[in-house]
Amino acid sequence: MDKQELKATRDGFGNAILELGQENDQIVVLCADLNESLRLDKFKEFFPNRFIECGVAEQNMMSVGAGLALAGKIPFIASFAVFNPGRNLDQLRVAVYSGLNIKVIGGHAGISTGEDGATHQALEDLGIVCSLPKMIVVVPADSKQAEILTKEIATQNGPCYLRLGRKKLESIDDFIKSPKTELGKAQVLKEGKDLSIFACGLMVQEALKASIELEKLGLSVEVINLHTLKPLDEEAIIKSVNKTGAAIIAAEHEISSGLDSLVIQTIVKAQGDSLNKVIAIESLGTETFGESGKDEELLKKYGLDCLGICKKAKSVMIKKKKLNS
Amino acid sequence: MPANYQSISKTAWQIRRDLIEMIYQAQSGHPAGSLGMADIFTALFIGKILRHDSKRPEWNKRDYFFLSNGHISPVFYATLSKDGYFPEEELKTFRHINSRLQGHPHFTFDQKKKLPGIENTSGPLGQGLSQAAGMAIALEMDGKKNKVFCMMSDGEQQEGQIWEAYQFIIHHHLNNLIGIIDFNNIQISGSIKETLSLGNLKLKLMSFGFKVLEMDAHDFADIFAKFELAKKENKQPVIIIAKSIPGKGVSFMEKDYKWHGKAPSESEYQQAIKELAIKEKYCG
Repeated sequence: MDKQELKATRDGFGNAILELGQENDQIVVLCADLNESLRLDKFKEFFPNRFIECGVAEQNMMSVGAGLALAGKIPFIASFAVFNPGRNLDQLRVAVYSGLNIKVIGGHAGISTGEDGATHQALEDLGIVCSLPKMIVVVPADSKQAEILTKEIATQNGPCYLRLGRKKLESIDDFIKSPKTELGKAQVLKEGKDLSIFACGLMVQEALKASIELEKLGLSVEVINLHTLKPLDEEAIIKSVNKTGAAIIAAEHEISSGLDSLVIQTIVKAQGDSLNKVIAIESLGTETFGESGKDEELLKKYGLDCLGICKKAKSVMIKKKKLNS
Repeated sequence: MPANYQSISKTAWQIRRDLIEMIYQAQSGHPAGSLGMADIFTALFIGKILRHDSKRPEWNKRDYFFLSNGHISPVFYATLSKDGYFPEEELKTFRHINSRLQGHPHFTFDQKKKLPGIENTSGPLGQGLSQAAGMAIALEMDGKKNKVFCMMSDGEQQEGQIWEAYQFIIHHHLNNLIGIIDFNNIQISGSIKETLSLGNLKLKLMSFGFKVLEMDAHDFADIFAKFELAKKENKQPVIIIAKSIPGKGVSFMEKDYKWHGKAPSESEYQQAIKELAIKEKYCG
């Protein structure tokens, strides 16, 4: 990928929320003393009457958001993912049970949050929100995608979760052909026939890098961006593994829940139905808490990078060979 | 305000009978708090302290009533049906499968499941006041004059979220909000003092910046007078500490924490209904 201006997904969110504020006066933003970190400073400046500072009280913030939704507002409820939905799951659950039109923004998600350490690196937020019925869950892979998905969730009449990161990322725009970023639609960023890599968030970029390295070794790799975890584009997943027979699932998240379990469930459930072969699978995610460090150092140490994917590619291809022998 | 309280008092005793019937039929539910709040619920809805209309549950000029301690749903449902929000016949379905009368109130947009009069989902303690604050801030944003009432319990004051909400309400000057605390001194495991004492709740709330009123939850003159004062207040949000008798009206349930969340046996049910019928007959 060419050198370009790097941007975090939170930056794209900040741009989108500002535009949404101009377009729709029912949009309100709630924040727990983190408006700069969540890129909400401009919204606060332009729409002071629709920016509700809640202080460091995330449980109250979620339920206040529920009350605003009951009044017909469209609240964007923002804090770090470890607190939102980490600390206020009970309040979120009650709001989702009511089918309220709330937008939960979980910032600083993943190990790439960096120096703040494990307490601030949400690695279970996707598991939490995906377990709530009818919740829409999106994880943008770059800033522009974050901008688009923020606008997409604003049009949905129901509870949504948007996962954001702090790390500045390269754009994946050049790889997006069809479909363009659209809620619920997986994106095949690169076609291949030997191995499928399903990824979300910053792991999409690492998957693209890994695909180039693996091609040098003669592997034809398909890279699929699953930016929407719920509803999941199951058809796209099955279509790809039916072709390749091997899958790596990569997310900056605990592997026992979130993208990993969703994709595996999809594949297993398709057995005897739309699946036409046995599939070799490897998971790439975390199984421990993180620690302090620079984002790049942490991603490397915990194997959440191009090299980590290449290692998984080796083991998944051995499995595939065994399954087919 | 009614000239005398005989009629409304009679209705409150009927509501108590209805809720005992509901809990007995379901063989689960929360009688003590429900009996204790029957007079206040009757005054709020049937006595029209709340600006509302059971024939137009979504009237845009209504006052909003948020229940936070959702376990006292029996008194809420019995009052709503008595006021015509839904048929009294439906009370029999309380806590049964396929009912709109869930164990704890469920707000939903699904018209088949939606129970008229329910403004919020509650049950997990501590959330209702924040939800009410969200509604109150939305009304202020839109320059609307509706008031928001929120009923809480005293045990619920142990939840941290309640205190987050108090700070939020004061900070954002939500003077359109009236909180009511059912102060009945009991919770599931025993008295409030034994479980986790609240200290001087009145002083705490005053120090936050609330106007605090105390109310005898079983004296209609006091109930109407204090709510009148609360509604007139526009410089401060108001919290009403309503001192109530848990299990009010059923001799063996009164002031006994064991009746927080227990259904009566058949003989206890017969006894309770008998006592409540006598009170209804001779009230006023």
